[in-house]
Amino acid sequence: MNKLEHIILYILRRAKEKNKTNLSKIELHKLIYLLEVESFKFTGEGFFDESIGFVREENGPISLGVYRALDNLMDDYIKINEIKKPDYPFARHCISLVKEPKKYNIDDSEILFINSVLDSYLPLNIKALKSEVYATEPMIEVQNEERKQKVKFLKGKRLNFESVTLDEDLVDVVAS
Amino acid sequence: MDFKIADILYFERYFFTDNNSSAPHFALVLLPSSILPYRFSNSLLCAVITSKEPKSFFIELSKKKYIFFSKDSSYVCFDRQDINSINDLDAKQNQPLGALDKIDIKLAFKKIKDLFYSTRGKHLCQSFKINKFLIATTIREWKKYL
Repeated sequence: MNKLEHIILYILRRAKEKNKTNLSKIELHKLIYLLEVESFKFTGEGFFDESIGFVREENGPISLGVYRALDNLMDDYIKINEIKKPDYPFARHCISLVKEPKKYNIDDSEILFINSVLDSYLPLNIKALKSEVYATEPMIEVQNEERKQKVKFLKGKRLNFESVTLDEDLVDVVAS
Repeated sequence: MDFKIADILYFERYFFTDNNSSAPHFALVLLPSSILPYRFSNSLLCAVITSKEPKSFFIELSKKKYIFFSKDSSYVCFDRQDINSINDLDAKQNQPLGALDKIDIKLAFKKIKDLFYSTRGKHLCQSFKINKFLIATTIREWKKYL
């Protein structure tokens, strides 16, 4: 099991503890995307390696790496069901945890950071989560490009995390 | 029981990571207990509060403002961090005894940033190495209180 797969299972566990027994695929992609953005903001580097590769889709950022990880986790560790929730007129593909790994292959300091980020975003409904995602620099950058090119959305355009501004207090720590 | 950043607690038995000793002590919460990894559940990352003025990375707290201290001046030592069990808090007292006010939170945050700048790569307590994610989490969490 690779690190991304461990982190997906950990996010599902944390969500379950916060009384979210499942996450839709859209929610999971957005949470992982926000984890990557927050990592660029507070460390200057990505949380994941480049294989995570978020690209622009109609409903926001998606990652082929996350899809691959979900495929690998299916049956043994997660299950995906179509569930209708009150905030959306149609059923969504929702992921729930079936089994946890014996040990999560995630460092303690990484878990601290994941918990900090998830505590900010897990309580949000999908609409609020979407607003947070669309307010990040990589999404603003792609939306500006879309306006310039007068297209609805630049499907498949790789999102640029280098556009994320480093937090000013982190700059103090690095440069003081 | 969850405690938050800048809470001031009194431990009946505060464990010092550096010399494996313990003693009754005041301490300051550095990260919310709710975000610690599961193996530290029921534990807190704290900076010890002493009555002896340290050499660096401290802020002074006066008894005038924080009336529960016994000495006129107490000092939060940000370079003396330890993981302590919530079970070792003094159960006879209402915990937290208090919390830093806005002015002292700002001063504390500045000292924490100075400490990170000076100690990158070192262990401040056995459990957590000062690395990019500990720094990131600490800055991210303290900024919520500024």
